Amino acid sequence: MARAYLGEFEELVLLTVAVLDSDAYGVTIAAELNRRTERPVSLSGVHVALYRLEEKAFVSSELGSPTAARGGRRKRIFTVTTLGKHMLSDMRELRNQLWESIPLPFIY
Amino acid sequence: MAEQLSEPTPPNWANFFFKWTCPSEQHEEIIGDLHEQFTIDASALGEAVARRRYLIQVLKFSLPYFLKRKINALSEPATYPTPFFVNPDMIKNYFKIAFRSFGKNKGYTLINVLGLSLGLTITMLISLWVWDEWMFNKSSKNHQYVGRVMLHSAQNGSIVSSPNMPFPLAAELRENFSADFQNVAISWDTQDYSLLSGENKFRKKGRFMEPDGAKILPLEMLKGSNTALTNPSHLLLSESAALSIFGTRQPIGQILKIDNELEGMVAGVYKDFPQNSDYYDLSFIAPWKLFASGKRMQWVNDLKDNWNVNTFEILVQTQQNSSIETASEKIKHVLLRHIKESKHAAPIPSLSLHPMDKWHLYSTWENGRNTEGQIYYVKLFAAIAIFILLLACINFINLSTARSGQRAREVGVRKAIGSKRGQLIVQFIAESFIMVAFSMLVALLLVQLTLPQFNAIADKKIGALMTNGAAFNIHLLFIGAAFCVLVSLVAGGYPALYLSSFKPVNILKSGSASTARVSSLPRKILVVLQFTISISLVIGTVGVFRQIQFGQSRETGYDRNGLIYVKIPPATKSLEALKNDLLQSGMIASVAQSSGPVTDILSNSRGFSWQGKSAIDQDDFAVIAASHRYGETVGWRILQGRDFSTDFVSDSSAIIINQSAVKYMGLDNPVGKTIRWKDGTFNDSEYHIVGVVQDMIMQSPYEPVKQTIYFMTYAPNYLYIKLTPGVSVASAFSKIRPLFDQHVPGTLLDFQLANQQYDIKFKVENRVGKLSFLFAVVAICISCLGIFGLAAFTAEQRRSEIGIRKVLGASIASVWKLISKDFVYLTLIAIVIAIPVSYYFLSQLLAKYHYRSNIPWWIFGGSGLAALTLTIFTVSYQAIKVALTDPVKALRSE
Repeated sequence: MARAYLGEFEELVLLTVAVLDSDAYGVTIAAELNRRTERPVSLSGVHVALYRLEEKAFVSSELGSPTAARGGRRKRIFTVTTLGKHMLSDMRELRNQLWESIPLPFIY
Repeated sequence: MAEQLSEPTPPNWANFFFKWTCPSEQHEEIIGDLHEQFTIDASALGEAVARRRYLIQVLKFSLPYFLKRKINALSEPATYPTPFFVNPDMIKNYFKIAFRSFGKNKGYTLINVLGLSLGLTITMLISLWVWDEWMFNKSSKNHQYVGRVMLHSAQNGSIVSSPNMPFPLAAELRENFSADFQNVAISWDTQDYSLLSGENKFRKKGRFMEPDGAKILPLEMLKGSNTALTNPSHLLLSESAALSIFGTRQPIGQILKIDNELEGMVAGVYKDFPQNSDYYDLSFIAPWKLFASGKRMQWVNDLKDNWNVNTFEILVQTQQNSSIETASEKIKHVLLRHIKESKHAAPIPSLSLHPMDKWHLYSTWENGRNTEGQIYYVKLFAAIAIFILLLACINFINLSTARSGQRAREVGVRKAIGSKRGQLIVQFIAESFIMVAFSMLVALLLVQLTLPQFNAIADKKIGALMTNGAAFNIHLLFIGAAFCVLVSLVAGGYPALYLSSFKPVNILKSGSASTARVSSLPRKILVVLQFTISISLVIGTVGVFRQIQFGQSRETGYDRNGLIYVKIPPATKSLEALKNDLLQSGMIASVAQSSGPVTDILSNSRGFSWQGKSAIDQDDFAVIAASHRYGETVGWRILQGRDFSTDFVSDSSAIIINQSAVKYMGLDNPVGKTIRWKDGTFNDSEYHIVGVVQDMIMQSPYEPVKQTIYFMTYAPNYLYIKLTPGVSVASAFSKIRPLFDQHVPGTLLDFQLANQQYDIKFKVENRVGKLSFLFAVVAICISCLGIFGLAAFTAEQRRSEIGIRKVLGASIASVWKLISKDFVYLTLIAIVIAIPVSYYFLSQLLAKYHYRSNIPWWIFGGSGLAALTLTIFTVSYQAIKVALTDPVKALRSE
């Protein structure tokens, strides 16, 4: 395969990172996904997905400022990289093409 | 009043667990997220639910994905570099810092390397020796099944053990104990023989054995078969003997003549036994039947069924499913069945097996029990090796902690920029490892260079690391590597823990660590320990040398100067003609015959009775055949009565006894008394005492002289020659050797100088003395190096203090006193501790000797004084140097 494979959950996480803009870290991403999908999203799953995305260079990260709610620990803020943005638009393009190729009438 | 509720916090133990499972570079963000989630959950759903969720999340984070990352993080640099210490960059850094710090303090580095390499050299030499001793007799593949039968008989109220057995016992063991014994062989001690091959004469050691002996030892055959001994005219040669006798010629099939009498054909060649084996010098093995066919060996055949005469060595090899211990237990009372009634109503002796593994290390017997032996020295030297290594480690520890002030700032800065304590410990241990590894290289070189000398002192043939470029002592490498790790942990461990414990805030605020004072107590204790060990070794060495001198100064009772003896082979025909020719050569004052050498007792006998004999088992005597002129030749001293004389025909039944015998027999007026000797086999006659001689030390000079009876017999075994005074041994030999060649043809004779043979009696003590001298010197050197370094450090540290003192008018002497005082106190304490410790060990060492020197106070006083003088000298160099420096220089540099 030419480019890295992206799983469904990873795609969701990547999109959420994009949505949350400059406030994307473990807890907020999990909360956002929870709110939108209404399925139980665990912190560990989010973290695993984030680290995988980072390994594939779709997101980058840096350490943010510590807060009292976190017991004085810093958070890792994730942002979508250019490669990540290309990936997202490529996938969207692909899906749109697929949608358009579906012969009518299509019941949904 | 509002209740003060503390913030709910997640459970600590879960955090702890998580820290352990989580990759460290992600720990902070994840635990932060978890904590934040917990806070949200706690306010929305209550603390209990929050805690539960927290725990579940922690567990989920410990799933394979994270564990894998954790493990990977430990082995390779991850996305976020871990500060894990086994990291190429850090190791490079350790090396760099180590070399910088070594380079900055060249003097201390030199002291450390010198001390460590000296200590390591001695320790490795001793380890090689200990290993060699430990493996003694253990090289053969069935050594644990081989043993020697020992006989324990009651004599004089104690039990005496000996390896001499009655002949029929071998057959008894072979037939009735075949379930336990695979092989049984009668054997005769290894002895020196003359071998004749064609016209060439050689002197080689060999033994006569029954055929199974070749399987017991076992022989590793290079040529021929180990069953060759079943043929009474075959014999086996060692590889080295075959080479020296036949060179490159084929040895098999060649004829050798033992002592110009017994002829055998070489039927096999076996590999030489290793140096650390009791059979290392065994050059040939000949069949027992050949031995018994000898001209003077009829008595061997006479003893075939005699259970009462104990003469022969019996070697056994147990079956694989039996063991020396079980077999030993089974044969304990075998003699009960065969000795129907004891000839002297003494209790019947019991038997046991002495395993081959113990022949060398546990060779002594006390009251029927196998006690110590060489193992004592193995333990003693091993302990000394450990102590010497400890001395070198102490130097390293002391110098590192003393100079810790210099490293304190480095530690502070390192900690401030995030070094953990573990990393610092690793750094300092790595530093000492580099130092130790370098010292080890020096030490290996020293071992390589000094091993030949050490072998000479210790009477060993241990191979060096490189022996002629080919052979290679693998043990040395293992020992070296093991010591390298051990020493860097022991020597580097304490300084590493100590240095890494500094608090960065204290160090950086005050500019330097004011820790030197706190750590000076352990340092002082270590110096005292060092000197205690060194002084004890010195005292021990002096004690050993005094004991040697004591033995050497004991009166021998005969004159060894110009006294030569030689064993005469049985086939010799005309001793009288030889003696006449010798006397006419003009080189010889007198010549006599005896049954044994003058420096040993070969034969002991029982069965004596006399008027007034008290205890029934009190009749164990050394028996020596002495011809006319024997006394004149050896120069003994007659105390009562007279020497044997040709003037009295009745002297054929005359005996002379020694002082010890007089005491042993309890005779008041011995001359003229009659003694009956009836041993049930050879003798039953009466003898009369014609004289009493002064005790002659023929055996160990540290043991009491055995009660001895000299019989007036012309024994054909040994010829004693007393050179004319003023004649040198070399010129005498040039004259008398041709005479021997003429009268004793076909034999290479083994002339012994009584003087040299007597000196061999001090071999063990001399060796121990020389080795402990070496150890003491090295210990002292290392200790002095240590205090030299410490004194240098003190002088350096108190430079400005001394500058001020000098400005205020202190004299050089008072400054010298100031610096030296501390070290002198420490040495004094060490002396006080060393005296009782060394007294204890020295008296234990001397207790092994029946005749031992006392331990006078001056040994302690002298050694202590020497140590004190040495300390003052060592410290004074530094003290005077600092006392002489210009105070202006010291103060301006502040």
